[in-house]
Amino acid sequence: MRLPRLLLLSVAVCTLLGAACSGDKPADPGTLVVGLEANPTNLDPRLATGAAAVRILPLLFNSLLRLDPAGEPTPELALSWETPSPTTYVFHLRRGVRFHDGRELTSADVRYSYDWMREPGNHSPNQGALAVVAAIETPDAQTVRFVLKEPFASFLQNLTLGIVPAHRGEAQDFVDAPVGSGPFRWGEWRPGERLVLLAFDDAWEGRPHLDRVVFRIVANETTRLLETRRGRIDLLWNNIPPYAAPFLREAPQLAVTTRPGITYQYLGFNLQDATLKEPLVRRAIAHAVDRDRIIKALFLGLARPAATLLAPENWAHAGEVASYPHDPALARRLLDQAGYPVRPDGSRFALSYKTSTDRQGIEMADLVSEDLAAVGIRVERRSFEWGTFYGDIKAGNFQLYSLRWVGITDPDTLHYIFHSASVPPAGANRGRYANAEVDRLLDASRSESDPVARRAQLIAAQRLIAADCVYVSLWYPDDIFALARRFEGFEPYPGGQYTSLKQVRAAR
Amino acid sequence: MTGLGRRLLLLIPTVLGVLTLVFFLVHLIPGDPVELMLGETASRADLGQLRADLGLDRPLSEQYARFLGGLVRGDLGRSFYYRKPVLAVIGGALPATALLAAAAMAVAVLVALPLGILAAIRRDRLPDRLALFGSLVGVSMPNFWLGPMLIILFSFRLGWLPVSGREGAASLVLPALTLGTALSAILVRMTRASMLDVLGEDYLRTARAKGVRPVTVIARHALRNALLPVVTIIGLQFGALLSGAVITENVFAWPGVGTLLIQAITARDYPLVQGCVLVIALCYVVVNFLTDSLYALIDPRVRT
Repeated sequence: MRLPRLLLLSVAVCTLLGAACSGDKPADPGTLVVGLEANPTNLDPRLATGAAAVRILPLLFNSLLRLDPAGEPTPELALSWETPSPTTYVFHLRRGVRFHDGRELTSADVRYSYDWMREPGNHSPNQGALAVVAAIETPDAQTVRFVLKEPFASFLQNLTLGIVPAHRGEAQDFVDAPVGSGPFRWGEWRPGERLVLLAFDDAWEGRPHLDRVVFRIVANETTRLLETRRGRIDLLWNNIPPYAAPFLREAPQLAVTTRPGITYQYLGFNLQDATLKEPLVRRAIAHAVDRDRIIKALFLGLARPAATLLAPENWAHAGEVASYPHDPALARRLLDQAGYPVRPDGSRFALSYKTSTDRQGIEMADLVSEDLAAVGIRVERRSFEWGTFYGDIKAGNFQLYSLRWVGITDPDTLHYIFHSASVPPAGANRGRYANAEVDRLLDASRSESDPVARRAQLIAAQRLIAADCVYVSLWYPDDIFALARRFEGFEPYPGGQYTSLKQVRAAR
Repeated sequence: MTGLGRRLLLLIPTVLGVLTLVFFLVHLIPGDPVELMLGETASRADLGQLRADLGLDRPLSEQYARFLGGLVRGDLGRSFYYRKPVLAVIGGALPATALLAAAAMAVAVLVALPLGILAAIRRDRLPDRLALFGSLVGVSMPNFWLGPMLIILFSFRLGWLPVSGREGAASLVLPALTLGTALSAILVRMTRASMLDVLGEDYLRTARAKGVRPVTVIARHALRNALLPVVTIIGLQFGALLSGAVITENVFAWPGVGTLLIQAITARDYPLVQGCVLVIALCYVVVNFLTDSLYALIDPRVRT
């Protein structure tokens, strides 16, 4: 009788497993589930790196200032501020702000948080950005004074870092259950699986409408999209590929919204490369790329062509810069002129093009390669796992690469990318671009206190950078987010932050 | 020294060899954990200081010696990325992987043994053909394809099972099926072949001739002898199961060691990579050791 028993057992187990399978539970109106593509590894705002963590932090922590959806610094913990001199910033704190443990937030907490990040031994990723700070003083419990080593026009952008309580900050387990003053408090954390945040009843902005926000980590793109379409994820933001928008639109419970984004995609040149240091070659490449075709094919039209790093929404956006419309005939002429005639094998020269293993990046590289092949440039596409790719481009070990800048609202980023002193590790001038006039304009813009003059300097710099064709500016992909129709009030932030979850409520 | 004791001792150099290989591999691949940790705005001095604090500025041989020293004390170091002891990080993920591997193994055995036996006793007839064809299909489907297909069918079209995550027994079904299918396909063939070998033996003919009921012949006389190679294969395939778990965990958002390992490699979190590999290597050798020991239970002739 052994054999049938074994068979029976198999059948029984399978049936049991099947019976245990419930359908989906009815949705709780106070709980919103967010689908994340990566694990937020460290949610201590002093130490956090990585997009996943940085986007969640504004829900747990407050900062002196916050960036509004347009990327402008606005008051948060600081009710007001003044700059008595170009190197002194005085902030007056909001009264009655409480941490999640009930203690009141004072200037001592602000100073503690910033001093901690400035201390080299603590290895905060924000230490470099705060190097300009000479001292932080707290004349009283509601006042914080930052003294800078030199004038720095973009300093306010650095004041969006989360404030931690001084009385908790040194605890070894702080990172396991961070305490802040944000609209949500720590609930439960299962690394690699889910993070649960709970409404903070005593939030100074008022209790959020949602009771719970659950961040589910679903690394696999297909799985994440299926979960959303199925209704088990209420919000997808930052991680919807354009091809998936129509698929999600078919779900009756989802509202899929697209709007112009400010993420900037580009092709980077190595300006120390023997071939690419020739501006004619760079311009030829820029004219060879058919942006409209790629936007249509890869983004289903959900992107705007770009001509400069700063999107049109930015106050320092340069409207009239050299753009390089698709013109293969002109590209061929420029290459002839640069001394790269067509060789007997049909090509002029070969370039290597590095990209990460990101699927969209690879597809993009293939489309760009087709365009370049059409004018006689043979492209060898090489995709690398992120750490290797990133190491290579920082070291200047590339000819051509493509990448994106996400959420750039601070025009001082131009200094970081295009100033000759910003060669890695000092900054992100990976192509080793050097133009004395650009350097001068960007340096001047840092200490310029008059916004109109500063804007003129930044625009002049962008024009020179575009004329030198340091990057091929490609496009700004649209922001796409999907929100369950049972909720309303979500607003996308340019850096991808989930900040607006504090105002999301059940749809009426 | 007994055979088993000697084998147990041999595990040590095996695991040590794996760890040495992995130590040098992860340190030699391009990519800098310090740069990934501190981000782009870090100054050269900051990078240098963190490198020194983590001991990454030391010669590789010294780092290796320190790693071995820690290992002896049971200290795997601290994860760069999580800023916590490696053991604590892995400890949080291990139960999920263990559960998944056990469930996949259960699926494989529960499907494969009956099918393999059935195929053997109905040799060259329809059940046999179906089992062989099914096993060919099963072994040909990679996890990263089978997983999404099962999701689309059972979760999406039929709505019977959750798509992903870890909530209750139901969410274990699809990952276990995905991970168990390939192993099951191999086991079906192994069981069938092994049964066929045994079914031709004289002692079975004797058993049948003396009037033992066919079911008893199969279950008591044939199966026990046929199981030995099957158990070997299960042990050997356990490694494949663990590597398959890395992919399956990704597809089903299953928070196990595989997910952790991928993350650790991406971040160049050397201590965590080494810790994950240590755990996986240990599981592998221990399971193989247990397999060896099981022989003795199944086949008294192996006892020494």
